[in-house]
Amino acid sequence: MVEVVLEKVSRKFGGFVAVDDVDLAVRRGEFVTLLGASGCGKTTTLRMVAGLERATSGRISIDGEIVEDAERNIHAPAERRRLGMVFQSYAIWPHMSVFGNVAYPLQIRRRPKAEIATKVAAALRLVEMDRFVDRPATALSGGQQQRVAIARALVFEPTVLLLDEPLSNLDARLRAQTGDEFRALQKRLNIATLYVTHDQSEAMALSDRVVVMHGGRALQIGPPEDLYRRPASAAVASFFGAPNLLAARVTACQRDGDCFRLSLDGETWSGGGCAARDFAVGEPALAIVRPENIRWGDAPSGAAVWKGEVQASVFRGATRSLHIATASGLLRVEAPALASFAVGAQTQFWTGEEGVWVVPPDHASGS
Amino acid sequence: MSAVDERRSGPGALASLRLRYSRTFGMAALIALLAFLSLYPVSMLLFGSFHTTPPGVAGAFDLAGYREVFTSETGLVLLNTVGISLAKTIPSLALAALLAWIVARTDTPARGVLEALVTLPFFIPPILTAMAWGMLGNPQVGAVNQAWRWITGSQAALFNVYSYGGVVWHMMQYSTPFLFLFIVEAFRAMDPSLEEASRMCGASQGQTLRRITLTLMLPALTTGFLLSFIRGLENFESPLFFGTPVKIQVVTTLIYDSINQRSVPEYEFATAMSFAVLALMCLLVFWQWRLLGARSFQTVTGKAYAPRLIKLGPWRWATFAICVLFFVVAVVLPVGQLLAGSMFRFFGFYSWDMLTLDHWTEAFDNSDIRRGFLNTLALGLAGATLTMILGGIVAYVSVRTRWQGRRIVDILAWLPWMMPGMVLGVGFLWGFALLPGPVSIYGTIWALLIAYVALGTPLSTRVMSSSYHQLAYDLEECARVHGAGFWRTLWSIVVALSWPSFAVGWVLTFFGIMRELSASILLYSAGSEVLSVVLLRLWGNGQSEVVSVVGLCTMALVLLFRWAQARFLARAVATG
Amino acid sequence: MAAKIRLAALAFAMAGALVTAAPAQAQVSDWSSVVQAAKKEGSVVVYSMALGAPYYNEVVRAFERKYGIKVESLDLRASELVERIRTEQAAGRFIGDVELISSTMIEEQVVADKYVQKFPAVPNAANLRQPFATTDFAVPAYIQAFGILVNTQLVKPEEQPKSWSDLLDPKWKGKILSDDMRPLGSGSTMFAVLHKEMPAGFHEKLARQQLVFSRDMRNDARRVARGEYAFYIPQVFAFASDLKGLPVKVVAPVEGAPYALLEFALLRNAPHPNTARLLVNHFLEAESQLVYANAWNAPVIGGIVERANADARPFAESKLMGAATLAERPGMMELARKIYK
Ligand SMILES: Nc1ncnc2c1ncn2[C@@H]1O[C@H](COP(=O)(O)OP(=O)(O)O)[C@@H](O)[C@H]1O
Ligand SMILES: [Mg+2]
Repeated sequence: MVEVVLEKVSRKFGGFVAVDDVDLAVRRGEFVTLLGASGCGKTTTLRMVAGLERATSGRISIDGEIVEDAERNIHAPAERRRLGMVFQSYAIWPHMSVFGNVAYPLQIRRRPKAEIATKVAAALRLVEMDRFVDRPATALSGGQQQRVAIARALVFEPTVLLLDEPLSNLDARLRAQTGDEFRALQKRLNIATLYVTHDQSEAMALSDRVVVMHGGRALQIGPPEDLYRRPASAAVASFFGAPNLLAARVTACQRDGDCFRLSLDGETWSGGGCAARDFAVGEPALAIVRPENIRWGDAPSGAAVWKGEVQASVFRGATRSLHIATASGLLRVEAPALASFAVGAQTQFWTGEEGVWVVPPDHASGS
Repeated sequence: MSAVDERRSGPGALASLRLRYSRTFGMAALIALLAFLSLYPVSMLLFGSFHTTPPGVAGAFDLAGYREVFTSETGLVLLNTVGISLAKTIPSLALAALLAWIVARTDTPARGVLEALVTLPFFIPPILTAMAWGMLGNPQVGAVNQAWRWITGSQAALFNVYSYGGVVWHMMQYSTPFLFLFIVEAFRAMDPSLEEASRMCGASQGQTLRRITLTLMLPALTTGFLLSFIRGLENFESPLFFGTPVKIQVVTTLIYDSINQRSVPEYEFATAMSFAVLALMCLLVFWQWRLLGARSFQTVTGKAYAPRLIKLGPWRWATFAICVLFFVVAVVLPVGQLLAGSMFRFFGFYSWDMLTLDHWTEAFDNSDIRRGFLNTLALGLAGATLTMILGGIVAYVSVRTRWQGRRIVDILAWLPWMMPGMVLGVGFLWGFALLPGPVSIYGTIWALLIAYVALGTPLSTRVMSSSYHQLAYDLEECARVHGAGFWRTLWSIVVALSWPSFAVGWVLTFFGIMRELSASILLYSAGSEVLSVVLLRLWGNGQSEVVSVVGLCTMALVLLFRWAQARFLARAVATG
Repeated sequence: MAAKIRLAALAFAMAGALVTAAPAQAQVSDWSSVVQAAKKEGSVVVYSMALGAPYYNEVVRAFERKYGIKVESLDLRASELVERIRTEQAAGRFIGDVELISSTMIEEQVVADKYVQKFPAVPNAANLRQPFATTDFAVPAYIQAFGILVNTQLVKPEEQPKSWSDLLDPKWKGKILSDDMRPLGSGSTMFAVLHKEMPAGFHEKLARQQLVFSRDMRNDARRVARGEYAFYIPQVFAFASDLKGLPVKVVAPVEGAPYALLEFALLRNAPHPNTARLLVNHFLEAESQLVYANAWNAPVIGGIVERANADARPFAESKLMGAATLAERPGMMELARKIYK
């Protein structure tokens, strides 16, 4: 069952295209995240779903009902879309108590007083804020406000929930904890969720699927692991961690199941790799090598090999980040924390075929 | 990927259709209402300014009125008026901003009481304070000058209120509390973190005040400046009382002369003059539009914050002293004079044998006063409430939406403020009397109510819009998403958050109605006498002491209102 | 335009003179039917410039008691009164019945607009004293005469002026407060009458005394009482009646007092014309005029002065100098502006 569908949705501000032809479907109970750098159009997309912004073209439907159709001039007002929403600023009404804030959507729906009381209590218990029910909204910490905002969005049991960077105002620990709690809650309530963030680890940890946005376009949509391991472009790959991007030329290409096996010739290296599409022999390509997939020491045959000098070694607790100066440029390597590398030492690094993902060199590939 | 069945687009389509039509219809209705309230009487005046005779009388169209306006003599009067108004508006605004900051943002002792007290002068009829200052500051026997001579032994007077300074000073007595009331809520509603951020960037308290606080207050400050400056151009009592004896002419005294005191009333000139002034004011309003432009002044955000006060340390006694000084000079001196005077048979004759409570018993026994007061109370309650509701809607449309026609709405709501009261009163008279149609408004109490709403809307709109400017959009959108319709959101979020301003606006409007004379006297009918007309009668019959008693009671009423507002109403809305 | 008005006023004045010549007693025989019709009408609306003066109210209350007819008074200042009537008449809203206003205003209405109708005769008009008489359109109601208000603490008894010319003494330079003589009002009435009746050059000399002009007659009199100035001109006698107890004295100068004549006129299409007549007649009753006289106004019928209170009597019987006329008004106002720059 599909809850939210966006079809070729665009939004222009004057001549500036903030959201460009986005297609997306969120199923019941699914957690979909819009991920992208600040200014890429995430909020605008979310606001169009909410009915706070009009689409300049395209269609949006919720629960099988068209709520926005630019061509036919249809625009259902926000209050008729029956969505829950958590704003980036939380939008806690400062003139109401915690109870008043959470009860509001129910009061709007003219529910009986007793029902309001039980539902508000339940919603606050859900976010563990039941102790603060009578607090004025102005006397809450950031995390508490965020929980109240979530309780308010959930209290009337919407089938779709929209969240705009709800965790960005929290400290790192609280962010991880609240994120996990929220994900569990969302699974329990089985609510379709459209979530906006610029934080890739948050996106990966929470989402069923992630939409990578850039310049108003959806570059790629898929489960986090897919996006991480099989990005459609260098741009997508760059959202997750800091991969090594190495220019290369295809020397051979053959199909293998749902992917393609390639042989590549780099500047000072050569080796195998995998790709999602067919490449012609001699075609330029970009090899994406994740730092954590790079090994060191003796390489098996057929592996891509780089030699270089360790320039920096940063201890990160779980891992150790290395910067290696090679003939093909700087190589980032993520090694286990216990491995020891002397700065200035000459070492050999390598990766096998499964560690090299190949995409076309320009950003024009799209998805 | 078309998972959506085309035929199921019904409800959404219907809703959007309904939305579109109801908005168009709503805007049309709003524009029509405002046009009737403001454009209609003003266009009557416009007709008058191009016509040799007032509407309803045979005559010819010509430009004689405007020709007379564009003479060097009138130009000089106009310059003079602008100069006086600037001279009073700038210091008033500075003083009001200082007082508002002290009361709303610092830990000055007794600031709650001070807040109520410094606003008092605004609510005393100007004619009374004029009389009081005339008694205090005349060079011959004025109390202040007598004291000065007694202390210094000099023969010269310390000051003479019958001068430019006196005119400006008397105006400042009104504009300072008015501006204070207008901007104090804006100061209070500010998120302190915005200022704290500036301090963290290394700005001093003073720099922060200037660069952050005052800049964020720009909508309230510029609007206050405009309102007050325009009021200054239209002020009549102060120049009449303190200016005419020393031959200071301003636009209003000129207009007053041309209507009341020329051989034949020259409405053509009076109205043409008013339109010349109106054109000037329009320029100012456009200037403000440009200045505020698309900038955002949202200081009330969805990240709830607890209002924090600035700790002044020992300096709080200095700020306390400033407030007390203002209170003493602007309130205690004139009001004390009125209070003392009202206990004696004649103002200014303090001898034991003249001590009497007659004026007080007279004021309470006089059935005219009682009837006028009750009429005014009813009109004031209904009028102020309607005015604030209308102002709240108009401000919402012009500040917080991008709907087509919102500029028209905004300018229509400005119009009545830009016409001198005595001319606009005539516009209402002409408009209501000549209004065709089966239901007659003229000669009924409705005429007064409509005129009051029209006269009050500019102020109520300004009060509400400078408050709306401060609200983050999220707060409102959040309510919409969670199911509240337009009206519900407007009331329970937007108005509720602007409630302190709403209440201040209500009080200003209410007392504006209590004081209104120019339109009242032309529209009241036997039985619907309002307080201002009754007071005019008393004044005209030499009973200025009784008028002062009523003025003092009005002030007590203000305090009562403020107290009730703080105590009951604010809470009712916050929880409702 | 001014010239046209002046011409018309002249014609009007002549017509008025003709009417006065014929005694207005012709229709008195059917007076009881007027009273009957008035009682049927049941109420009357008066537009009055008196601003609810106590003596006005007293006479009205007496009327209500006597006939059981309700009087609704609308109190307005002169210019507002005229404009309301003009607008109502132009709009065809005939609400008011009768107005009480200074005679020049009525003349003006007659000349310019015809918003008033001919006033049918009233029996008590026969008692009008010289020089007062009804005209086609107006019936005199009472006289408001002006003198000089003197502060008795600043001015020694032997220095107190007896004549208007005494104000010209150089020692009073800068000590005279005056209602502004340039705009329309009591000041301009005084200007016109003194200009006509006093020796040539009077105003030029008075101007050299550096008069201070103000515009609030009630408050200005009190300023003189408080000692800001030694004199106030023109002091309406009736307004001084409630300054008793203050260190002031009102002087009625020997040359006489300029005055304003307040008159009644019947509005066109008055809804209660009979009551209006009855009310006007009531104002000309001896009792009514006595009420006015006792409040230091001058009555317009004979035989009243003698019955007035002792302190009111000097003012009730004060020598009248003259009134301003509509025809000469524009010229006078221009002259005033020239002399008192
Ligand atoms: N009301 C608006 N008018 C003009 N431009 C806007 C408006 N709202 C957003 N934009 C622009 O659209 C782009 C996308 O904005 P937004 O969706 O808020 O980005 P983000 O991905 O950070 O949430 C930005 O470049 C922003 O400047
Ligand atoms: Mg955003």
